[in-house]
Amino acid sequence: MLRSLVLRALRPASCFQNVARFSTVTDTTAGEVNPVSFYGNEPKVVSRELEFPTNDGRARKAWVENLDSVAEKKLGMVDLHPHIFAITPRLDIIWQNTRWQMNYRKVNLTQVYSRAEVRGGGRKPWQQKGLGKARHGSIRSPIWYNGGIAHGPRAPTTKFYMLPIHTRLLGLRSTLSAKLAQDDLHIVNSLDIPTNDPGYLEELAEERKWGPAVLFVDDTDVAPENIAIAADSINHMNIMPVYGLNVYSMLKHDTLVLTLAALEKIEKQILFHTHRVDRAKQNEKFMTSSV
Amino acid sequence: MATMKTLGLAFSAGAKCFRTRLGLDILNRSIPLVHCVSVRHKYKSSPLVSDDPGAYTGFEVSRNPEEWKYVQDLLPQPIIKDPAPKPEYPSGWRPQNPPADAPYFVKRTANHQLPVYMVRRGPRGQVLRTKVRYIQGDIWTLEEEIRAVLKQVYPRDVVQTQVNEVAGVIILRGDYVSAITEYLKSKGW
Repeated sequence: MLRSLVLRALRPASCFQNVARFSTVTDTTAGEVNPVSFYGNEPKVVSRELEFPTNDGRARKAWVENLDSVAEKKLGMVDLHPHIFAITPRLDIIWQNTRWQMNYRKVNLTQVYSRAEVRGGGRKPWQQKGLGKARHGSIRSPIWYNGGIAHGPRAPTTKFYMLPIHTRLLGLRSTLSAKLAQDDLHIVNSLDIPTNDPGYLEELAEERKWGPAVLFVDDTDVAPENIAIAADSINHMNIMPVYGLNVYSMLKHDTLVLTLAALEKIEKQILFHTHRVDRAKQNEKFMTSSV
Repeated sequence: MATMKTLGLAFSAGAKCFRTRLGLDILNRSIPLVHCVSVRHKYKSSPLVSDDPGAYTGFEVSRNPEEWKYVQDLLPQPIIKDPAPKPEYPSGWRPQNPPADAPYFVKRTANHQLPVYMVRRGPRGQVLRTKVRYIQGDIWTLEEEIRAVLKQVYPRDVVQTQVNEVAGVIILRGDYVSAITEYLKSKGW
């Protein structure tokens, strides 16, 4: 009960579904457990239960920060899953993901005339025999000047393809690990900011040496009003729900800011897909008819 | 029954045509369209074999959570669970018990198996490669150890290895899956 109250204070706006996995302490018990220096009487996040715990000796932690003041306040520290945030980044996999994201939506609209589509050419230009000339049946054959093009591009040609799901997952894990290793990943308690002034966000990023491009990720697709208005007029600061998180956007933005709830959901999803029973079925060839 | 129904529909359609040909009013729906049930749900529209409930296997609906546990055991699990801890497993499988001082780490697969594979390539799969995956840390130490082990087990072989440090993969020329698996198992990986 105390924990839920404390957490409600920590994350007032939305998402209570996963909060029970964060354990917190108040100042009274801080001396025993918490390595974090405290600011006032605010509750602190100190640890997190991780699903599928690892035994490889890797461990990653991140500060929980706030957004409700320009100056950074450390609200606690959370554990991050090593299989997501501590792997050796595979640059080749990140590139495969980026190339896939750039290409799968493209449709090639280039088209050239074939010999059937060029005007004319229906008549045999000259008789087959008796003239000493080469044999021709149409003046629009590909070997003729102003003839049709043989094997030219035909529109629309789709560039759609699907990366295997585990390549996509490894791309996400690699990028998240790289972002954390480069100090470009920040965890915040919520996206609530006190004003809808875009200058506030710019000042905050300047103060904390974020960005300039910042990607905020929350677990809901409805952002708090203030940050939505503030980020709307800044082209290089964007808000994204968890289900939109992707390698390309993470690379495009310098800094990635996750809320606690978003972190929870990202880990849950990635771990589920890497440990699900029907992984062999996931590896089957992607058919557009099966969507 | 379904066949009869289809026939009935056909018959009624035929009767309609007949009436049309005779110049009768089509809109006069005096034709008994009894069989207008869709034939798609055949089993639902089929008659019961017997009206006597005693002719069927008896069952009772239970909402007992104790009994539901046995049903749950039969349902497919969404996630690969950790195996129940036992002193010994009939298959010879052992849980990972990594040495404390090793400079490298070999991660088990999601199915709790050692990530040692044989890869067949080339024409008709004649080219054999052994692949060890999920190696974290000092991969070169593990490579030296594997070479030393294979030198003992196969003294006449020339073991050729390829190390991909970024991907954490060692590829060996030839089939050494058993030897490497046994070695890794003996070390507790």
